[in-house]
Amino acid sequence: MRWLFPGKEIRLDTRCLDCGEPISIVMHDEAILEIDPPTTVGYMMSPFTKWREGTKAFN
Amino acid sequence: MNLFRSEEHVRRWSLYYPAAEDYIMPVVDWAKVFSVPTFRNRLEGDYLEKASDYLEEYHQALRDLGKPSPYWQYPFISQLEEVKLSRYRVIGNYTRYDQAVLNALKDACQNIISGLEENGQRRDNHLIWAAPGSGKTFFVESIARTFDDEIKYLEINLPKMSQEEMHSQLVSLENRKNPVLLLVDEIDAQQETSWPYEMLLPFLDTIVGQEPKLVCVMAGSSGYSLEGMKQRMKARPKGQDLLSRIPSQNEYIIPPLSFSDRVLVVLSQFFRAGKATGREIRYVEKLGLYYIALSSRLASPRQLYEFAIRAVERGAHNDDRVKYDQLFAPGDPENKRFWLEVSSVAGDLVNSYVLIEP
Repeated sequence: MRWLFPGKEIRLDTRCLDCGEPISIVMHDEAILEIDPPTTVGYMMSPFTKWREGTKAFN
Repeated sequence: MNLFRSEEHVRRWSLYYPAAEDYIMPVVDWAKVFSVPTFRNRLEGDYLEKASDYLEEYHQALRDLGKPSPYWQYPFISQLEEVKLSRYRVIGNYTRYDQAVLNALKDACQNIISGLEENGQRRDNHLIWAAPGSGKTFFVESIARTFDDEIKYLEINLPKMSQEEMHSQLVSLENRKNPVLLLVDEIDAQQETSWPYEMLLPFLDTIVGQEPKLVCVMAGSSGYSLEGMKQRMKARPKGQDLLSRIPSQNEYIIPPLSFSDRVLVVLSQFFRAGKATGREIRYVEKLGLYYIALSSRLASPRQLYEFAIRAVERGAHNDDRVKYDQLFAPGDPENKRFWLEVSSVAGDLVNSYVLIEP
């Protein structure tokens, strides 16, 4: 997202993959302006040898 | 990128992969990682030409955040030449790489051992919260082994035991001739039944001050933390009473195995497997070490030991090395699959060996 919209404020509304409850993030470049809930984490599980493929389910 | 409401949500996700646990990070930290040129410059015309340089900046950003995922740690193995197992030994064959973890667990051992050696009226009940696969049973067994035949070691695994069986085990301890180290494993299991705690409570009161000594170690892995497990225990009938029988200084945490811990465990298990099969294993090919340290199928020290035994048996009797190919049965497609996956970046791990020093 960061590199698709440089210099723009972005709002991301999604759901937790575990429980389905909502997650909301507002960001401007690398600055996170709002995040709900504040405990939100990101997780990536791609093997490093495959990270550049970029189109797999977990990238 | 997958988003979750908290770290606990990631860990209970059905597709969670423990070997990639270093890739759980707060969104703020991920934003820093995604601000390096690898991502920021994706729309630039010369991106592909500079991709390799950008990759190193990405690695560095992860290292700066203290998050070297297992997938990125082939340099750790590449630079590893010699491992002196005794430097990392907590007790017996139980090893940990991180010095803070190592010393905290050594303190726990000393506390448990002193209960077996010293007389007194104190309560020698202990509670361990251990991350899944961190080898809690092996840890307690290793304490017992240091006494050879001087003490009796008994394990009660709550989920596998009926009320009658547990009663019989506890009664058998009344006429003990030697000190006993009792492990009540999965103390947080059988959530719906009340008899395990009802049976343990009077037993824990009876053994105070008795000779020969009986030290009871209760261990579990639920609740994501020691506090989480205690909350689950408290919620059960007699749970609060049971916890009140455990002095607070007798509570310990066994953290999950890090990548470095897994490397140590693998080397230690190869050394043990060699001894068990009459071979002295001193060298392990780095590519094999890398494969095992990344393999999610080999989660526990016991699984690693079984795997190591089979690999050692495939080698020549007078060879002190374990080669990558010996990890696999002839024709196992896993051998080729892993090699194809990592050959472009980890080729220097082939024909290069780590020396194991006892």
